[in-house]
Amino acid sequence: MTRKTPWGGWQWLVPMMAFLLIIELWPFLVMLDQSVHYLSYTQPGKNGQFIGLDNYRKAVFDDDLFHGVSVTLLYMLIALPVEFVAGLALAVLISYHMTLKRIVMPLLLIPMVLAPVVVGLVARLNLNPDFGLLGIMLRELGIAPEGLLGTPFNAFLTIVAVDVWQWTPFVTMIFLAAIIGMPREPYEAAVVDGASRWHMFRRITLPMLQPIIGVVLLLRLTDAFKVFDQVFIMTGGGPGAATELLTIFAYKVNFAYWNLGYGSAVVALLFFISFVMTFTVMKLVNRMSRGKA
Amino acid sequence: MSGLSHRRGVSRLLGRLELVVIWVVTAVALAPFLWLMVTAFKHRTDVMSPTPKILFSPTLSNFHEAFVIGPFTTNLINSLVTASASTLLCLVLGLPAAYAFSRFRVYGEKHVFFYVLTTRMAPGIALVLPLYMFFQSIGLLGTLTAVTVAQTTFNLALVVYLMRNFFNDIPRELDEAALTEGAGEWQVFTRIILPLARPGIAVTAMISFLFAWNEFLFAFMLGGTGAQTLPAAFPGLVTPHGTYWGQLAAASVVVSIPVLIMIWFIQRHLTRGLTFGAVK
Amino acid sequence: MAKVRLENVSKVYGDVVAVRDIDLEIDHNEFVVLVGPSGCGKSTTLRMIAGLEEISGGSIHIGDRVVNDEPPRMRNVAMVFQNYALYPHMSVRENLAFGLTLARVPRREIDLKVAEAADILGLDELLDRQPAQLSGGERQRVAMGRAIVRHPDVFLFDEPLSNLDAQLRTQMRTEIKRLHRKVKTTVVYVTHDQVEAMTLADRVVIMRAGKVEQIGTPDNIFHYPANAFVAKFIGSPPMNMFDAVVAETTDGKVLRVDSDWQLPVPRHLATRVEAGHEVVIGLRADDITPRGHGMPPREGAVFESAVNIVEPLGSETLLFVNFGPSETIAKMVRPRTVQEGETLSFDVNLEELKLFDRSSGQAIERTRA
Repeated sequence: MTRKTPWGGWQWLVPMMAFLLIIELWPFLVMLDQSVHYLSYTQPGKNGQFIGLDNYRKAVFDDDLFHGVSVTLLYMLIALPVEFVAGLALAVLISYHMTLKRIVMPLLLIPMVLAPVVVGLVARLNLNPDFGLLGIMLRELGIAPEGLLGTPFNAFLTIVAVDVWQWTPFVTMIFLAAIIGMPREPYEAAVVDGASRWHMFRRITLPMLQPIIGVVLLLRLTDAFKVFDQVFIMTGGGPGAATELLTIFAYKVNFAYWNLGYGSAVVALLFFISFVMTFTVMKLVNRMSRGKA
Repeated sequence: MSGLSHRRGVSRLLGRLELVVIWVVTAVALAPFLWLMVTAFKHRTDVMSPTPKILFSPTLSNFHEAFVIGPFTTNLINSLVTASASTLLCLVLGLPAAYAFSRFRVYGEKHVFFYVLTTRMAPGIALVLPLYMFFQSIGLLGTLTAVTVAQTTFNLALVVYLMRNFFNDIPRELDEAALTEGAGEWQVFTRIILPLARPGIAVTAMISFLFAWNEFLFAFMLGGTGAQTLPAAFPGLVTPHGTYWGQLAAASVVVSIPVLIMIWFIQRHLTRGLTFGAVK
Repeated sequence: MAKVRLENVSKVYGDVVAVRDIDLEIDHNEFVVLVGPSGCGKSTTLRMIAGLEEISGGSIHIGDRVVNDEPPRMRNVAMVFQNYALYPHMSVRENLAFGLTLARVPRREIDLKVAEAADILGLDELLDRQPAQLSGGERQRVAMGRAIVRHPDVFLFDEPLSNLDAQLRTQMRTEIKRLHRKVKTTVVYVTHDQVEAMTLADRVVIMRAGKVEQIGTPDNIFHYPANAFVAKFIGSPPMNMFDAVVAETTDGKVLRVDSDWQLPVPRHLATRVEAGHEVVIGLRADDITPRGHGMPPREGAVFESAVNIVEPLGSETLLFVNFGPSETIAKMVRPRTVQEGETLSFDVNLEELKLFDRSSGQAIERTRA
């Protein structure tokens, strides 16, 4: 139950809103303004000129941008299902051995809380074909002798694998919390009825996890969409453009080629995509919490 | 739920197998990081050894090179300053807002919430470009202020969300009791809510500190060389002449220590923290 | 102490009317209890007096002020909550003192007032404890102490006893009554428990679905319920109710329950009903007694029935017996052992028989003797 207050409570929001307006909204508007101008060093004469939606038009037909979209999509399409299945399986396994939970979970969470640059470094070190733990093992086995980050295909699979390594425990953690929070009675009734564990999982656990699956999926979607730091450290988008995610593409346009007008348009598009995704997350999370009340 | 499982001999064997799987997965999750930790204490020759060395004579030379001879101590201090300052700023800005969202029917609440949330969900690059141009135009590029402010932007949403959840857990009857006893809203906030939410504030502060501490892109782009944080200094050691593995590993250890310590304290709250309270 | 007056007060949430046009005048030092089933608007009414809910219409007066738009802190009321709402981070002493410190009362005076309140409620030993270390009854007393120290104009109680176990509840009930005699202040008390209402109140306000059904002294409400709802709500076991139609016979008017079961219309109601009137008969268990186990009625009727169920309560025994086509509860005030299936004859005390109009539910008023 909420109470009414004069000014609709806005006096409490003033510091935060002031901050957000000055630090976020204003610069964002400036950037939008830039996105309809030509800003680059390649044609100095044209610099600063108003060009309407040309930058956006260019973006839509930009093969490099399209490539970035594909890489990002493919990245999510492979990483997320693997994380889901593995994470859920692990959560269920751990739920059968609750005594282990207190020891295993904190350890499992370590990759998730490490600084992304450290994650990138961990990957680079371990995958090094000359002296990395995993790199040497793979070389001995005759797999990927050129190093896992050496070829475009390998490098792409590797950044996906690193995502799986880092975020599967996240999925496990949330599902485990949800499983622990479930009422016991349905399980006890099922045991009395002689149901097998697989049956209990299919008929009780999975249906009860359903609302949470949506939340986790969308959180993972937005997070995977944001990935930048560790890939930047691991490959910088290469070799070639094999691991050039949309975020890395946007970075390069702005801060490697200093094509700030076009870059602003790209970033605006990026923002728009994440905006749509956020909207969906919010809808879902809201519906969930209302379902609980 | 759990525990209802193994009843007979076959399932006991299955149980054993499950334990093995859990431990193997845990080992796989940990080994690469442990390898990095170990590397930090190796001599350069051991680092580069083509046969992985499990046994070696440990040394602190990497730490010496990175933090005493090299510039990493400055980076470390920058990290501490920006992460602490941005956490503090987040709390100052976010706590009153979280209180309002928890207790009042705020006009346009949904829209404000959504706006705040977008700053969290948007890719870093989408936030960093406007900020880069903004700080450049006011001449603050490459300062600790710029990094602090930028880190505040992406943590603010988290603080507001988490603290609203923690505030929601405090029974409204307490506010109402205080209100009828003659308290105004500000007094309810400072004398009832804040003291009672102290554990929640601690957790939120830690999570917010962690995110700022780990953050790379904002610090890298906005801190320049003048306000380089520890993570932002990493790319500098990956040079065309080679990678300074030892020093990087040493820096990684230092970056990871507070993370590992805090994770111990906030474990229980991490689920809530990372799902915006959608899952308790 | 102050008078409290509610004029046409209503509360609307969206399109749900929680409280509809309530009028209520509460006198100096009067103890008024709002009672009704859950969702009847009693708590909302209390919270509007406290200022915790905005009123949607009408006006509320405390003393000689209209407080409609005043925040709670300006109203000088004290409230005791169902869950006590003690501040968990403060000791009992700090809990008691909190309101006074907010009002910037000097330290010395606070100590004095806290000591006084602690004395009244027997809290002296507990002053340095934390709320978590207290039992339910002790918390309850601290909550009351917190209200007392401020000498408010009005005490508001929101179901203060419903979290206590039965025994403690009875004990605290008496304590609240004693407290009221001691500190003499206006009290508005909300409960869903009619026994609490009857035992505590100077006047009871019975509410249903946002409306006041009846206001009166406990005695008045018990003996002269304004309608079928009040009649059924007050008293335990609930009043027996039977549908009947008034018919004219050679013996005078009767209440016909079905073709072969009827009661004479009692004298005090005879002129109030006409043949064909559809009514509801109300009879309390107290007025249906086995022969020789209650007061023989001055004006009565007799019937025989087998006993279906026996519920001994110690000092009295409830008997479920057939009353024509339906079942009724009878009360044996000087119990003896009764077997289920045993047939007894019962006196019906027609003097206490109530009649309600079936379509409106309103009581058909008796003629004054």
